[in-house]
Amino acid sequence: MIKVNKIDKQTGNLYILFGHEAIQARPNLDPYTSTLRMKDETMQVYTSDVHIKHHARRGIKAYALENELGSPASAVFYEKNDDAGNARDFSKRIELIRAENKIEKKQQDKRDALHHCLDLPLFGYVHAVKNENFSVTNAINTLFRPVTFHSCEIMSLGRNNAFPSLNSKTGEVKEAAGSATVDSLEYGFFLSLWEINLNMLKINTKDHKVINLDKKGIEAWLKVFINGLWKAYTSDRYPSFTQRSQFAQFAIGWQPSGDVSYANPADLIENLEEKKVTNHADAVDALNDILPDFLQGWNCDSNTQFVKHTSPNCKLNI
Amino acid sequence: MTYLTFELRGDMAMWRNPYESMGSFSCLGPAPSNLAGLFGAALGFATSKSQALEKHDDKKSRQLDKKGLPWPVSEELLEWQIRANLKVACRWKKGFPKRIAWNINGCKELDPAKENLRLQQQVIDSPCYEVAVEIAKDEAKKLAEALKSPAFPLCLGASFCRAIITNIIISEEKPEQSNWAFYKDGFAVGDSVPFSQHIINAEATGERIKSTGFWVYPIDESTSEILENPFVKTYCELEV
Repeated sequence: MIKVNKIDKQTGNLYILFGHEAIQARPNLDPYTSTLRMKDETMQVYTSDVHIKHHARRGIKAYALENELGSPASAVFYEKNDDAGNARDFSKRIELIRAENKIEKKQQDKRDALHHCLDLPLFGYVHAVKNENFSVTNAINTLFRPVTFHSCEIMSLGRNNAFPSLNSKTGEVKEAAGSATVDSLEYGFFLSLWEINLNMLKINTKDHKVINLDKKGIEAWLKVFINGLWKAYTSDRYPSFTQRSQFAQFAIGWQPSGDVSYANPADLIENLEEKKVTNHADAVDALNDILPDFLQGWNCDSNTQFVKHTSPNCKLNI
Repeated sequence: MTYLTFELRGDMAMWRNPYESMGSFSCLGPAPSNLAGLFGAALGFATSKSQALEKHDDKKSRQLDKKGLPWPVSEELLEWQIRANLKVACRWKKGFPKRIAWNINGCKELDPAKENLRLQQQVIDSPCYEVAVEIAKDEAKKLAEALKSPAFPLCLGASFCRAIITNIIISEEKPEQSNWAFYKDGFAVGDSVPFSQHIINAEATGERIKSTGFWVYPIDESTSEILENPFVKTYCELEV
């Protein structure tokens, strides 16, 4: 489990830089073209905040289960399908949260989901129910799109998952339709920079029934997030062919005590002599060259750090 | 009067057009009401429907629903805009604008028996603006402090588009006058933003925002207009 040190100042913004690598994967696709999301000029691949939060939620559920934080079935609100794959609507999900936590009709509160699920205080939501409307602003979000800090190699790979079909009249076997060529990311080291507004996190978690803010402190909520994110890319990776080969590499969190550069990890490519990176070893070497200055600009040092964790194969000097 | 200027930027922006119900195509820049909302978030003015409000008045919430205001503007923010006599100017600083496809998932329903709603959006890529505020001197200092250390997360139109604010300057002199967004009351060509202001007597009118004409963002000198005064009010009062 990743440990979180005590946060000195209980106001302002915290930042977490999370690094993960994707090997022969399709991390996230453009909603219109179903191709990898790319910066065409630099061949950097990026994902969306929605995508990475979707994965983080799965990790948060695993973390909750491991640490017996509330009921596993209500750890994460945004489970939009049941076990059989049928879609659930908003009100059905709230009903299930209440049932799981044995909330009787007389005790029901419009904030039941907020007070029992672990993802809502972190990532926010809109409770758009007639006569109950309220909104919860996200306390944690990526400041920039998660993106590879380098140019990537993209391969076109053929796919064919369809069965051949039989013409019953002629007995002729037709070749499978549905074969396609898709783009595949050979190797990408993604950096996502998360901004955490402490005031908002305290507001969103103040009456939570599973993690008591007064007793456990804001650090308990940071642990939920960081460990959830880490688990999503280590022990509890999504099993699909395109998602499973993605691995957490490092997480470093800090609370700036002064001005920061607001540098975007995407711009680190400008500091690379060799823009294209195609394997883990070269990525780590490159990061060892360029990350120290980047982190210094963000006022991240041993005095401001509250979390630091690397995977066993990631030999980073941070 | 005092002038506060700052640079407003981020990775993406999603400035919704109030005339487009699905809100899927971002305007180029913020409307005056968007800028007021940004200041409200920095100063910690929560709406009556926000979890951030200390105490919720459910009875009043229901009344607002009935009046057609399910998502009202913060009362504190409305009062502050009047007290500060808030006026704003804004200009685009990023050359030719680019939009990218984005998407957000909602657990909202189109048809409960089928699938959940998935919104697909076109956001502004890497936006950058200069914002100028005409404001009373004491309020300028408070606002500058709040922008440096905001109470709530600051966003560029939507909560998934976090804002970055730098170069905050307070001055007694009006900022240089070029390339500011300008008002058009009729048809406008190009990247024009519906000119939206908060309605301060919203409860009486049942509307929280009034949009009349357009706020046109020039993307370079050639499309700009020379303005005597680029500042516009962020709020208005409707006749009942």
